[in-house]
Amino acid sequence: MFAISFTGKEITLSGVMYFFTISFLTGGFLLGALLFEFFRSREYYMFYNLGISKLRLILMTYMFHIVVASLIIIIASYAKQI
Amino acid sequence: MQNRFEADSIRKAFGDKQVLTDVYLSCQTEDIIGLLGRNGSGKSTLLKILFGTLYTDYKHILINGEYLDQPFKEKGLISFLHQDNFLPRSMTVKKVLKLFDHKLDDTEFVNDPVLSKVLNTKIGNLSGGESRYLEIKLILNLDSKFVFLDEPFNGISPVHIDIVKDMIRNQAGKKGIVLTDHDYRNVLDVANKYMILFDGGIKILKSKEEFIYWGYLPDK
Repeated sequence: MFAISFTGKEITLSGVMYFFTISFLTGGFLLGALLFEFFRSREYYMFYNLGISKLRLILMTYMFHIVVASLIIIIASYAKQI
Repeated sequence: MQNRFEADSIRKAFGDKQVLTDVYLSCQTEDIIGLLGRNGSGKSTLLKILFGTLYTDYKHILINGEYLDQPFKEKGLISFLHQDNFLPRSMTVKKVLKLFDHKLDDTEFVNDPVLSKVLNTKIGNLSGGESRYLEIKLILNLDSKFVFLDEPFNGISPVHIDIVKDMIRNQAGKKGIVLTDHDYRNVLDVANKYMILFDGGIKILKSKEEFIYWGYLPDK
């Protein structure tokens, strides 16, 4: 057991990791993309000059997120067994 | 080899304001086109449309006779210098060079008198002029047939402006270049063709008096 939540339910390490993975792949990614668009959109021109479009960049970044999330899920499933 | 870039029927509006109306621009290898215009005339907008990163319903772009909707996606065609700094602030100069390495001759940069002193410096810690100089050199030395430079002289010291102008002239031997800047004297010095964006359209100019006629320079 990791901790007790304010609802009294048990919080486990694997549960935290699963929850992190979900937000990493959804709202977290979206928030990061929006912040980049808002504060650092000029940096897209570095990628444009390398022939990489914004869509391709976002898709490649999301693929990387999926790989990282998969590793976290694998680690979380082992943590559950411990 | 002669390459030809042709853009026709370019129109762009922002809300109710029609910025570009049926603009035609052609550029070929060895051209250095100085594109001037007042603030808000649409110079940056036009260059972004030509590069392919700004959407408009109305444009027709041909490169060597081939129609292209977003030219920047085709490798080895066009490079573009944004008017603001666009390199990530957290990367070092060396890392940026490595990122572009597959397209650049590295020694050209490593031995550069301005850049050799700052190779291990982060982009965010460079002076405005140093980062601008790096960006110009990167863009001009990319493997591309056409180069669009949006305000390349912005923030560059006078002694380095001469180096930049020499870089532009050297690259013009194998590329077509379009540049725009408010430092019109340096634009006129380096360009071999002159155009002005006026009232949404492009006028080709032949003399300095025409800049006065079209309201770009004051009548003295």
